[in-house]
Amino acid sequence: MNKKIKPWSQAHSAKTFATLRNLQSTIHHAKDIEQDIRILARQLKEQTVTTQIYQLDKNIETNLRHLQKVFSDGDDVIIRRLLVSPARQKAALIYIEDMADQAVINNHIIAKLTCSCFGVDNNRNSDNLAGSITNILTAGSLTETMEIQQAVQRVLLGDTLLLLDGVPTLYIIATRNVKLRSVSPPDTEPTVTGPRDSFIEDLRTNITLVRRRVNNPNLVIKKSVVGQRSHTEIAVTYLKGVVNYKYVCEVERRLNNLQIDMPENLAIQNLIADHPHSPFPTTQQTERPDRFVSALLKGRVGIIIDGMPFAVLVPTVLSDLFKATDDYQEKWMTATAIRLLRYIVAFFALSIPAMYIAITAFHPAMIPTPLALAIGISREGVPFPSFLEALIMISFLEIMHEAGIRLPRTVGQAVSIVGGLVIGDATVRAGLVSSPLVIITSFTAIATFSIPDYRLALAIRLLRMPLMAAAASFGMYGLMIALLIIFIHLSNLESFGEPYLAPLIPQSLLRLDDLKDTYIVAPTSVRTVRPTYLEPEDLTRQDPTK
Amino acid sequence: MLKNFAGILLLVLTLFITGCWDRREIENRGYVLGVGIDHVESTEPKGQYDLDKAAQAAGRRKYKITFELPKFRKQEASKELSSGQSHLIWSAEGESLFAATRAVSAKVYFAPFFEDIQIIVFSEQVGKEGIRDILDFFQRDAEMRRRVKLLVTPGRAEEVLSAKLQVEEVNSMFIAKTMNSVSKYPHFSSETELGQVASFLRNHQSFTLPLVVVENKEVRLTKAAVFNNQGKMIGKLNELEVMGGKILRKNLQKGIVTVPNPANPSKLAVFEILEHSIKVDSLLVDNQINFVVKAVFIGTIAENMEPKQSAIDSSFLKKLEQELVDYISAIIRSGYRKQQLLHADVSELNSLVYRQHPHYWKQIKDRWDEEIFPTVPLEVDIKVNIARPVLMD
Repeated sequence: MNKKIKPWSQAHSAKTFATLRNLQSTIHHAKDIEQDIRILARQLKEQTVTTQIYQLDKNIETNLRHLQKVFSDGDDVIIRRLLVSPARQKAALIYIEDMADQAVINNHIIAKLTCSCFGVDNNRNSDNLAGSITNILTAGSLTETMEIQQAVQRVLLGDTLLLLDGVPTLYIIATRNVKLRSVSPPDTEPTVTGPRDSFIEDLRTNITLVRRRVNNPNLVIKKSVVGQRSHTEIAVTYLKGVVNYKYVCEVERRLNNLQIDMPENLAIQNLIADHPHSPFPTTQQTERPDRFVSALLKGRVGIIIDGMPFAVLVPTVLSDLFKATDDYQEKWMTATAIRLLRYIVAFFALSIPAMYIAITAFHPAMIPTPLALAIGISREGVPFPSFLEALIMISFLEIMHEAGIRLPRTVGQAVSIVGGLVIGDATVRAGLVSSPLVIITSFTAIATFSIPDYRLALAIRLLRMPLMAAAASFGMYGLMIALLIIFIHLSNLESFGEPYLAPLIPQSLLRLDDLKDTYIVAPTSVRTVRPTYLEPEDLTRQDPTK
Repeated sequence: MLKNFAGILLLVLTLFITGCWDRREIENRGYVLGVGIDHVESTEPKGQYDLDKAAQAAGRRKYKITFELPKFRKQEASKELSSGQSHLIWSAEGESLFAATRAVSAKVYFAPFFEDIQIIVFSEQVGKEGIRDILDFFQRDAEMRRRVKLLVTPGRAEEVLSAKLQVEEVNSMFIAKTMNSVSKYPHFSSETELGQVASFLRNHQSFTLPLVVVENKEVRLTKAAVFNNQGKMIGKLNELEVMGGKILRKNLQKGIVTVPNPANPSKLAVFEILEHSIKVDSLLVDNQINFVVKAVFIGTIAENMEPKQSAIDSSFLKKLEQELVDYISAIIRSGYRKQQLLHADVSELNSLVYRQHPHYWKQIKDRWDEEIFPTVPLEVDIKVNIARPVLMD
């Protein structure tokens, strides 16, 4: 037996293995093909819907079939069939579960339609019913439309669609049930004495917050839709009689030119900004309605985006980013001191690590002898050159910045202990970093936090590193050259046609009025004109003499 | 576009590949805080190797230049080392100070850095030989500061720098700070800075430098070394003469005058000058110049050591004021006399003559220090006003 089997097995085993391998791979391929076919079938079945291809029909069933396709057979789309009471006429309601207010649908639509006690005549004519439908329904707003596209859009926002058999019209009933959080105090722009409300994610609420502050019919809110897939509502806001229309037209032109799927949060401000490649923000974002309104009153244009608790203000010049709401509520002298402090501190936040490097490694004669000796003593034994030392500490700072944002609140304390103790104290004790640099680093951190605008602070944090490199290579000379490059860049920037340094460096001596709210905060009674660089239609802001 | 970008990148890179020129970390700089200049005592090597000798192709081994540097050390370590010195001393010898400075670099890796230099001390011997040629190095070097204070010591300058003082501070810093006390104690020459001395030498003007002496862990500033218009030290003013010279030069700030108490000559009365108005005039009569000093000193009685005498008594005050007038006049005269003896007009009276009598000055300017100045009479007219005699009672 053994002798017979052995040659057989030897001869055939290789062949069998090859066959099995082939079979195995065929099965694999078959599985792939099956998967591909399934995907293809799904794609064919669920094609991206464009509503334009469907026409309204007299027959309700046809319309319903079309709409069902439009809504991709979604499970949250409710189609409620009913018979309108006296005539037993077929009708259907389409709405999205939870987005529409179920109570309104029950009480004001279904109850009325199926109620047997119509006040009107009992004619079975469907045209009659269509005519009297406005009287039957007790819902707030009712729109008739022939276009499926508009109707679908409204349903997606939470409205209800009413279809009647034999009537080629769609009735849109306002049943929106928007789930909102309440208006809460601003998180990122806190003030001491300012108002405590801030924008929320809902466009309508935000517009309300703005309207409440300006009781003026000249406050214009122009809504448009941005995002080819998301259809996000955007409101361009301005004050008629104040704003220069060149800004309004420019904002609308840029918004209309946008070809995007969806305005992802505030990414829209990068898309409409003049200089997308500059680190400096040429638009301003705010979550404070009071700030938004005061900007409108100066002649700026506001953009409110649905779903964002921040509004965007344009044009934005550098001095706008140094203003805080509290400035105008304080006495002008204290406000001026604080404003000046912010400019100085921003400069130091940008340059003080670089200055430290330049002075200690290149120009120690610039500091008084006892200070130079003190720094020398503390640097004794530090194994890194001052640039590397500063780079390590500033990198630590940046990492902690970033970690601070990402951290869950519960572990925040642990990080602050690790950061403060380990980085502050232990590195000095270990002799890796000199203690003056720890002071410099913490000063830098605090200075960065005192810049009112977050995006400006980001720009400053970014530019700090190149400045340090310049200072490490060429000392004060390099630092000055780098600062000059930054200033040249700043003076090249524009925001919606407005020079970025506009009021800080007045265009002419006739425009000195603008300086009253830049480096200083002039008394309120003196600030009688709106910013002239914005060329507002009505320059006079107030006239206290009258 | 890409070509342009690459070009710009190359240009920028050439900037960076030059490296960090001039970069020297602060702890690697040799902060020279004080410089001492002595004559070399003996040219015999002190050990097996002649450590101090600077290599010079020409010139003798004449000067010994000593640098005082701070000792950088960690604060934690200072507790253990509290008995140790807080400074480092490096020196080299040669005729050229620059060559000697460079010779120090063979001893220590941190190159001397002069921008924070506080004092330069000359030994009296060096001063007597003239400091003009030495100062050239200190004026020429780009790192030098015009605010460096110059001092003369009767002993060896290196000992002033290397002496161990009571305070744990670098000697040079300590001396430089102590020189500010001249406003309270005017009996040593006002601080004289390198820039001033340079302009004195340029204008052929005599000047004084304070003396610094070291003994028993202490330094003291005292008197004044008088340098003639050639930059050679020719003598000293004692402490009272220094004060008299300062009154003539109108740079007295404050000071005290001690006189015997009029009520009891064996006890003292002390007057503190708070304010003064000094007027120095030159009168030219028959081509003969003479000086007039008119001054009013206002001050308080700082000490009345005779307890029986009421300080409010007007006759006592009158007597005291008269004593003070005599005493201050004597100080002024003695200071002036000494300057005349030394043929060195360190009170800058020559500029007064130049301003008030320019024609006369033209005739005599070459003979001023040697011939005219020693013969000019001085008239002293002093008033003393005791403004606040009583603080107690």
